[in-house]
Amino acid sequence: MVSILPKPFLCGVLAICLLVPALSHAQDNVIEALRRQMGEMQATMQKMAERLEQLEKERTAAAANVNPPAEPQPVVASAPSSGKGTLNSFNPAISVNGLFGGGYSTNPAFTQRWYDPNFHNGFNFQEAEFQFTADVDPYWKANFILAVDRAGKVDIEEGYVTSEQLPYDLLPRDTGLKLGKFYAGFGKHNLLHTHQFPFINRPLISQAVFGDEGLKEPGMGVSYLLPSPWFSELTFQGMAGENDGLFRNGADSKRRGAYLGHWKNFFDLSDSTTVELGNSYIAGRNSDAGHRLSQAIGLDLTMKWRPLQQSTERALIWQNEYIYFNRERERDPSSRGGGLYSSLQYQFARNWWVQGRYDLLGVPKLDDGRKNRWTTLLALVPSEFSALRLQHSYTTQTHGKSVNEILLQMNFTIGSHPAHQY
Amino acid sequence: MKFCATLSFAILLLTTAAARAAEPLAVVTTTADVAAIVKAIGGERVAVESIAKGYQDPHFVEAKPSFIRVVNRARILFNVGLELEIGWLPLLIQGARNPSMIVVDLSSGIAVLEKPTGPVSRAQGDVHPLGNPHYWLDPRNGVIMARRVAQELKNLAAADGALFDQNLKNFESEIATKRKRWEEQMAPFRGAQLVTYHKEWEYLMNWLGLGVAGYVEDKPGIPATPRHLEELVQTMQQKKIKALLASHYTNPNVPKAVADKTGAKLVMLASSVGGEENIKNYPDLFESIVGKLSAALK
Repeated sequence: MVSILPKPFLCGVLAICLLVPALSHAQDNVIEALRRQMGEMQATMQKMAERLEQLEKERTAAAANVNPPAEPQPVVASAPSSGKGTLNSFNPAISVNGLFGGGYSTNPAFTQRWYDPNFHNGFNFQEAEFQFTADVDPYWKANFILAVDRAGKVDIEEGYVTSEQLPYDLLPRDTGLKLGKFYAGFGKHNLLHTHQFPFINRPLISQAVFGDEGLKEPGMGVSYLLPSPWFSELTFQGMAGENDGLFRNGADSKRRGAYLGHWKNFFDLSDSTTVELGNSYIAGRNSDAGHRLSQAIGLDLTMKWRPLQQSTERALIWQNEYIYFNRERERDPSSRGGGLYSSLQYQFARNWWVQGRYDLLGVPKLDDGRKNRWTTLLALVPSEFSALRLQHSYTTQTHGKSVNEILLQMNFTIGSHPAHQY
Repeated sequence: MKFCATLSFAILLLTTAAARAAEPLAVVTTTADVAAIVKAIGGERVAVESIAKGYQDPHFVEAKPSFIRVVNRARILFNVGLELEIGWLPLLIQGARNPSMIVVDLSSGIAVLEKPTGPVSRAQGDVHPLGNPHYWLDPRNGVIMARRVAQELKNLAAADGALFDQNLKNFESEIATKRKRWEEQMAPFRGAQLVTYHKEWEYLMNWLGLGVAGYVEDKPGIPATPRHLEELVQTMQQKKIKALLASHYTNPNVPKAVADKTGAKLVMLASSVGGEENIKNYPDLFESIVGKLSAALK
């Protein structure tokens, strides 16, 4: 192959081959130099931009008289650092409670309305309760409890604000204020929502005086902590006086209004044993022709024992309440009477409670005679958010046959952690 | 006459003012450990009362009205925070009707362990969404708490500031000296694996360089299933776990059975000041814990 190509050509090729790398090397040097220059220029420009930015900052800082940066703070572990942002933290704390049950009664007509009166025996969704709690502003805390029954009817069980402090110190120290619709502070049981009942149904006397739904009314109240060596609290509440049971006031009634007083006393007998003594009084006009007075007086006594070393495994609660009421009438003799209950709740293991209650309605006798009821209950409580309860009750009455009733209830709560009332 | 009345009134005013100044600061704390720290810093100048007793599980305190009275009288309240007291403290503060009271959450400034990174659900048991709240079980955190306490007390009673500073200095140096000794005492056991009943010893383990191989509780606050216990016993036998820790308020039946099966020692530790009779202050707590732990791991 070499022989067919002329020599000068070969020389030329060789020369080119030698020259090209040299040339390209020189070219590389030039490019490299250019690149370096460019890099330097870039760096300079960067510096200039930075300087400009800083000057700009200094100028605005000087203009706004901004403080120098604060000292570095220690690691603060406050709010959860979720990506949800701060908007969420203004949402109310929400919890939902469900009550599902089943029942069998030997006398359906007698059965309390904890399930539909037309729905005698069998399973039933008793109620769903939605609770929303949040601070309104530094002065008010709001609480809404909406209950939805099996028919889908929504009821504002409670909707109120409370305050311990108002602008200009309008609210004196040791005083609390409550406005809205709420369970009246009469005795112990009336303050409880259905899912907080120690037994599946209401005590007979509470039902006889205040009806199936208890005494809850629009109104306002103040409570005052007395400066006594023990816990002593006075509560006064004024309310609409619409309660079906006590006032029998219809929408047509023109003169309404009821007033309540409650005095609560609480003593620690030891670290594990406490006693609570209370009395309550309520009075209001009823719907009878002459707008006569309806009154009720209540006494309550509660003893609790919970050994602190075994606070999750043992407890005993003995609760008693007596209520006397008098519903005056224009012509007929007044409707009056009284009743009581006494209940014992014993926690014998971490997840188990056994309970008993005696109800006596008719001391003094009511118009329809007297009723006695004995109730026993066994509860499996897997956690503070769920309970499965089985209850039997036996009732005797002056007029009518004795009744046996068995109820089963599942009680569950989801959502925000509710604090537990003592 | 008028002058006399004015004078006596002025004297009365002065004396009551003086009496008020001399009155110790009313402080309430949620737990006995915080109370012990406040006492160490405040000394005679504070009257401190703890709501939870030292021998009680601080998760399950009841919001008794008598505590409402205590909170009603307090000038300042110190709590552990991280939702440890969520089941009872809000009711006490609301019921107390004492809006001028200062509430101090001592968890700010603490490097919190076990902050959940993923979503939390009650299916996981009693999880604390803000992280493990048992941080007082590391003496280094005790010092952070004490500094905050001193700062807050000084804000309220500036006249006693020097005393609080001195007490803080003493507290810090006492902890520093003792900590060195405790750490030396526990040094041979660094890296040892233990089993605990509840998830409450993480800060202690973290401080002493100990590992947790498992829990008797399946999920925090939820009693264990037989299957979980079986697995735990196997793990403990495989890893030759020497000690099982439970808090003094734990029912010892289940942990005792597990310990017996595996040959591990059941160590009932006080997790709070007052958990045992001889634990009267914050350093005593670690004296007791370190003593028992080192004996069990030998």
